[in-house]
Amino acid sequence: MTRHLSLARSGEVLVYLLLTVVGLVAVVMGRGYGITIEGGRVGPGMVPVVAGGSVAVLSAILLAQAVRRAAAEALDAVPVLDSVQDADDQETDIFGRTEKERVRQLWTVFGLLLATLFLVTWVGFLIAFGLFIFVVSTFVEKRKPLGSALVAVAACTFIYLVFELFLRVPLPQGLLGV
Amino acid sequence: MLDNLALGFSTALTPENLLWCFVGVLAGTVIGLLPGLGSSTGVAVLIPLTLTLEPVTALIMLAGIYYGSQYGGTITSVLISTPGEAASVVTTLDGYQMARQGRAGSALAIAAIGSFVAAIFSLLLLALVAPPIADVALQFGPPENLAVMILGFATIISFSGDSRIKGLAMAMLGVLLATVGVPAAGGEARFTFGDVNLLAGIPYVEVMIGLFAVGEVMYQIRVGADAPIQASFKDMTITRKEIRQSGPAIGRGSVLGFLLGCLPGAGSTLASFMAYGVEKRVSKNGDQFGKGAIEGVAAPESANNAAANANFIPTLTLGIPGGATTAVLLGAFTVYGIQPGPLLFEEQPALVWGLLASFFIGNVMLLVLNLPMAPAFAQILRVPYAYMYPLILLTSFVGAYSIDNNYFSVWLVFVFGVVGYFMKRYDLPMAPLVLGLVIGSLFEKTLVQTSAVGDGDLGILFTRPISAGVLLLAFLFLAGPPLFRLALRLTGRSAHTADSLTDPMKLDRSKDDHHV
Repeated sequence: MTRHLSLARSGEVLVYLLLTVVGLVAVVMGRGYGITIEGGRVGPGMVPVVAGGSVAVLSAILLAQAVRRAAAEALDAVPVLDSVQDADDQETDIFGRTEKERVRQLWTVFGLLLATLFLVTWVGFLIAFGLFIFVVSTFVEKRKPLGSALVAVAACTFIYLVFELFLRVPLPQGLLGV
Repeated sequence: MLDNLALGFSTALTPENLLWCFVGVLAGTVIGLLPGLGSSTGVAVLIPLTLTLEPVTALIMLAGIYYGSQYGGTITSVLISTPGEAASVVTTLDGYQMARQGRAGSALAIAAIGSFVAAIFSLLLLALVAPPIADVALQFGPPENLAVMILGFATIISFSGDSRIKGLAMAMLGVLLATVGVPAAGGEARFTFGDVNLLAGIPYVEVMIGLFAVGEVMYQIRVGADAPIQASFKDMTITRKEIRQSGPAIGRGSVLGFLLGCLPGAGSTLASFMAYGVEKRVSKNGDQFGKGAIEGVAAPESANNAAANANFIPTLTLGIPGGATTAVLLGAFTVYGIQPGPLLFEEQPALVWGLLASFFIGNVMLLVLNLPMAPAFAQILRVPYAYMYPLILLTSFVGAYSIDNNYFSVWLVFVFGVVGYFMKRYDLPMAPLVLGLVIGSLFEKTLVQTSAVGDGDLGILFTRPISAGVLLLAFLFLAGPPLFRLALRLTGRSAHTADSLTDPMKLDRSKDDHHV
């Protein structure tokens, strides 16, 4: 359990750190746009500096809070019993998946989605997303290949009919011209 | 008002508008049902499909999705303890307990009845008060408009749940994102890094599809799912005693929901939490709350529908969204070339009153659909999520692409999908970010104008009575609860009492592990 909390905290710390950096970059760049113009009026850099500065300060506060919590948890959690750890990992959803499996599944889907977006330029939008649906349903969700293939074909046909034919949206085509 | 309503009904009752209103409420109910999809997502994803329609027809359909999803969200809250909508989160507390006791039908029926009563009540008030507010708003100059926007931020931040710091940080991040592109007041492009796609700014419909659709779907994969409770048609009965018991809760929920919905920035989620909290305190049945009390379903369900309608007051009259979904709808207005604000009532009466009249018609459709058909809708939950979520992702990406036929939109959706996932994961509120993004450029433009009016002195905000009054209200929203808590502690009241009186969003959070 403790390891999970620490992992969660480390992710949280990273998110706040990133936000702090984004805020600081906005302040630095915003100053370059000019905070005020003639007559002391609001210039194009004012809102970026104020908003970026607020994001940086507030995220730094959240970052400090997250680090403090992580430190307190680390102190509280001296010997973690393996059985407690295992029990936590074994908590399953209705499909019998443990938390660890769900996290792995999440990042697999993210990865496949990213690959699909790159694949669009090669094979076109419909084929790339058809493959995405088939691969996710069959290999990630462990559904029967035939059912997954039918869902993928039906979905792509529906999108083709609605967007290409009805709405006349020219979906990106790949090298195959599909 | 009667002339206006007559004009509205003559617009809304055309066969085409009736058809699209029905499509909207039906799609809204289904969208509300699906875990991982909410009204904001539904409206954002379906905007591209409405581009070929007349603006009034498109808005009637999109608004139908908005209030239809409030009904649909209840079904999953009751049957699988998973709210399809953030505004239905609190309904899970008693609705799911009622379902476990074999009273799913009563819970769903009272939710539909309460929602209908609240919707009609709030619509009548909306039709009554919106035009005078628009008239007053016509007198507003830049300082007053700026003050109202600050009030919107203050409201949404003060009700951001446990952490106002997170709410404020997200609102400021939204404003910062809105500064990308050519400034409203002209000049050099900001934060574009040489990319021409960013010159016009970050398009917020794509951002919302990413945050709400992709981010939510990913989060659902991460948290897993509960087993559904099946309800049958014969379960859809409600006793007279239960209706009598729920009457006052529906009344209180409707009034509270309407009042909160009128505030810019206060969405229906807040209204549902507050209505539940108030009802728990005033109800004779208070000790049964959380164990299956029917008032615990009636009050928040009435409140969220009343607030959903009242949200249109700031949206239509001031051009400032009431909540996240009205922020998306505001985006839709601009896609159709319509500028919401006080002039809308004068310049586009058929559109405004047609839209308002369609709310009446849509709510009647929803009652007829939901009272007998809720268990049938619930069958959608039998479609395996394993097939559902890849389809939701496909629809999100194709929808985003079709807005401008630009592949850049697809990448934006992916990036903000990742952002949305982490926001859900670490409980960072999305509504302030969306509000900041949507009104960010208007906020900056008004700030520049106010600065020009005051010759560089923003102190003008405090010297004009309306803007000073609105700013005082904003200050009370932000500083009031902590000051009130402090006062209670100094006078010896317990910390718990102080907290529960000043922060309704903390209510029973321990029982509710859903992130909204």
